[in-house]
Amino acid sequence: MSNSDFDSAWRAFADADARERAPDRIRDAVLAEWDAPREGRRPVRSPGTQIVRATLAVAAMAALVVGLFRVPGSEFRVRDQAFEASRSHVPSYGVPNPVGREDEPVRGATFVNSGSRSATLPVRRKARVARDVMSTDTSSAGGSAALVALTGEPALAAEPLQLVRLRVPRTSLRAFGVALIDPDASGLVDVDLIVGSDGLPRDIRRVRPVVDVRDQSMESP
Amino acid sequence: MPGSGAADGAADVELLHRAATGDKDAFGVVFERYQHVVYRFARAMTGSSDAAEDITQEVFVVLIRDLRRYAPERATLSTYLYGIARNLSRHRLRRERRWLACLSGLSCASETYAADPFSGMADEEARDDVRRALGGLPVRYREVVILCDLHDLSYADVAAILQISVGAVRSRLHRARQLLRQRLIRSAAVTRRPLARSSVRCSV
Repeated sequence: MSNSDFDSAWRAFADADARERAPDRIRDAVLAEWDAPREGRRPVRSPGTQIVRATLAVAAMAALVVGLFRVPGSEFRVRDQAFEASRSHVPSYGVPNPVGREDEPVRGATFVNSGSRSATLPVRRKARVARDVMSTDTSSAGGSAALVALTGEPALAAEPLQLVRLRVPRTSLRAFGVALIDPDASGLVDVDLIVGSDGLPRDIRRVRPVVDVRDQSMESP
Repeated sequence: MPGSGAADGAADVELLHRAATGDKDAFGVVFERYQHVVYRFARAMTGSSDAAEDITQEVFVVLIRDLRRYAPERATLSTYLYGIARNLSRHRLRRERRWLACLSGLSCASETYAADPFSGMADEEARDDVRRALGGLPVRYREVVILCDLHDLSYADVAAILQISVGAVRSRLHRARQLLRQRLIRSAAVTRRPLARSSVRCSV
């Protein structure tokens, strides 16, 4: 950039700045201050500042409310109640498949780990998913699993969802809201998590036990 | 610079004296005489129109409150008002440092383009580049370049406002112009539409 470019850009900015004037409402507010009693004079905030302050206050309150309802203890308490209520509907062994057939794609989910292709389907409402959790016959979903997937945060309409597959120790599933029925559960499981746009899990699509990796490696040539 | 001459200074003192006795019209004249320089300074310092409005109002509310305490032998009225605006701007920048950056982007879209909309957009884009570069300067450099190059104040006046020596004003201004140029070089918009104007110098 040459000196003339810099000077011209600066001059244009200076010319625009020289035309700046305080709005008339500032004059009105200041002269109103003149008329006001000398005690307790406080400047009136501009409308933009008032809006920003109000927005920030509302956002802070919303964050506080959300934070209170997201206390880990309360979250697990709610899920445990749902787990207790569902025990009478679900056999002690079997993996529930909330969306029906195992290989059927979840609506609204983008498959991030299923090759190079990805597709987004219309979002399924959470209420429907929750109902399916309770009503699915789990006897055909694999008899060796000892897990029951319960509902998480409800998915919003038209929210882009992603399916994330995890392999985790079975004992760590409580962090995802999955209750263990088999008290002696151990080993690894594959978990298909439905993750919302905010990165938080919305639901668990499928939980499958993993065949012992050491056995697989020994069998492979 | 309003109020820098002897006659204007005397008029200011007279107006303030009348205002101190309750003359609202005299205070209105003082307000009209200085509101634009206070507003421009606050806007350039904070980068926000809303903040500049608040600061302008607070400056004159302070003046109303302290009319009897103003001592014309210590400083001209403009120096006094610049000093209040500077303190309020720095206080505001410290208090709302996190929010001003995002707010400044919302406050620059009020201008309408009369004849050539594309030319107007390019001009505004270039001004925004300069405004961003200016807002990115450290405060001690920003206030010097605003007072010297935007408000055309003398080194002596700037030194009185900032309560530093004239030599410090010179060195800060030199450094501020260097930083400003470096920041503008990084901005591609400046090189797109050069304008042929003369350079700006500080009046000494």
